Amino acid sequence: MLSQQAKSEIQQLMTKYPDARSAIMPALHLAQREVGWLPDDVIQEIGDLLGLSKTEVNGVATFYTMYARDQPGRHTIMFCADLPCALRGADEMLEHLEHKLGCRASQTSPDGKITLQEAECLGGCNHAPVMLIDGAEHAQDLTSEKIDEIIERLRNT
Amino acid sequence: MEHLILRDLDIPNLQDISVYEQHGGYDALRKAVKEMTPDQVTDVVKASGLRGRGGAGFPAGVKWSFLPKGVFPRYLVANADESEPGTFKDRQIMERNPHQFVEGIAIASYAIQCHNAFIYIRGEFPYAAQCLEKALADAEQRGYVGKNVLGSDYSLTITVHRGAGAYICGEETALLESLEGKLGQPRVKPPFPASVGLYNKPTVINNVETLCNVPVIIERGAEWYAKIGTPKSTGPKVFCLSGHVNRPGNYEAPFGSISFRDLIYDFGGGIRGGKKLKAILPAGASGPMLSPLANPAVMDVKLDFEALAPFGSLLGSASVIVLDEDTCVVWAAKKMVRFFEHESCGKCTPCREGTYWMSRVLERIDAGIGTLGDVDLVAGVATQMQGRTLCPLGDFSTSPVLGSVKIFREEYERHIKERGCWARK
Repeated sequence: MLSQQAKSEIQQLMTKYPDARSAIMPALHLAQREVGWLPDDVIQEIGDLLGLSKTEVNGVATFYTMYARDQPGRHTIMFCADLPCALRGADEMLEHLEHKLGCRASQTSPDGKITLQEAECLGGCNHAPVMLIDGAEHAQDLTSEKIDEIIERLRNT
Repeated sequence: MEHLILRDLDIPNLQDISVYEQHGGYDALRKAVKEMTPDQVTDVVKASGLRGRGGAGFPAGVKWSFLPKGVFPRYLVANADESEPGTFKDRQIMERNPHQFVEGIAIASYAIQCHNAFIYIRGEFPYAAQCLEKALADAEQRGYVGKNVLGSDYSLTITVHRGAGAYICGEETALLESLEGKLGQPRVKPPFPASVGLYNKPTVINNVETLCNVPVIIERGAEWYAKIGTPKSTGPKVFCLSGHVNRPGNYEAPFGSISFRDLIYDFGGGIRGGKKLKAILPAGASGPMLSPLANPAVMDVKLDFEALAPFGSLLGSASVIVLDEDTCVVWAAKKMVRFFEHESCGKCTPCREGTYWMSRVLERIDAGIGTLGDVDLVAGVATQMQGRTLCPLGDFSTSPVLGSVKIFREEYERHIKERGCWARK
């Protein structure tokens, strides 16, 4: 369930655009930030606010890869394995990361803390390999030591 | 030479509005709004020869003048959905020189008489989005955007709209769909966005780097600007260099002033580990592969929009990915096609099915379980897709296959005969 504040922020967003429907993506971002992911009831609530059916909102939420329709771990890592990163060791780093987390890409670590996703280019090819943590922080020039440190930090927060 | 776009490399803390102002920031906007009519601004940009930096190279001023007369409201959308593998110039601009971008949007909006502009920034750039929000708030406080820009009767709102992970939204009509709150799938063209764009209104869509050239043009004049570069590709260009080079990064140089040799060996410090160059991807995943092994002349051609056409490729957004002699091209082609397969929006059949099948065939060749007919099969799928997809994404997805098969067919065949990749054994 969305908080009253989130709901009023979404109503505010709707006034920013010539057509309120445009607020759907910022609304989904906002809801995901508050709830951590996008469960069915939240999709319904956003639909109610925007005057759209649950199906329409779900269509948008599932088209874009950064919206989580399944409950992720406490943290999410998006790891780039595209060519520019792969030329600088991303495949080996991803393997290291999977081993460290005890799960494959598109899975959550057994302790439920970290979800690993393969991402498409994160725009950091000059600092490859690159990953994005919790949709907010770019970790660049990755080495296995750096990855170990980051995982340690995420496990403890 | 001084940087005109990556000015953050010359001026520390350029992201601060006061620093930007001290270095002539927003003077061009003042000049445009106070001394010029909107049509005059468009004419100057036309005369400068500025071409779109997102890849297509369409003349920006001409694009602006396509809007049908007397139809309002109109919209300007800045395309900051930088997602091409190997492209990271717009991110640097937005994080470190955001005001030049904002100023460019404001001038372009004034020129087309738009009062509501949008920045569509990809979801994977959270920090850049924050930098833009901050820049916009500061610019509004100082009267550069908002109601009555610089005391004139022109008003402008700029809204940052974050994407959420979809390469296809870099295609302009998919971007508009996404901004309207729908799935990011391309529209059938025509009609073009200039007449039927955002909310079915006349719309101009320009790339971040393109818009950053606008303040320079207004401030220093079309004649001065047009002297930079070549007659057909004017101005400076940001080259994104990545892959097997010692110093990957963004490098700015006038069009027609540098070659791949200069870019890789001078700017980029050469190939990592002193190895030899095998291949170059000049336009991220989207332009056919080039190799000095196939045609040594490619190393020394001065780069502008048209320079690579004789070599069967294109410069696009100048996202140069460098592959050294140990790189397996089948593996590289597979990686890129997988990217397109993942990013295909699914709307048109040739792209949805084509990227899927090219990916499957490349996987089996790479894994050493392909048959000799597979090389022609995958090239055949690519050839049949060309020109039959709804948007350029589908066409681009064929480049990694056709470019690499043309130059490195032997390597494909060796994978099949030797049942796998010798480079990784």
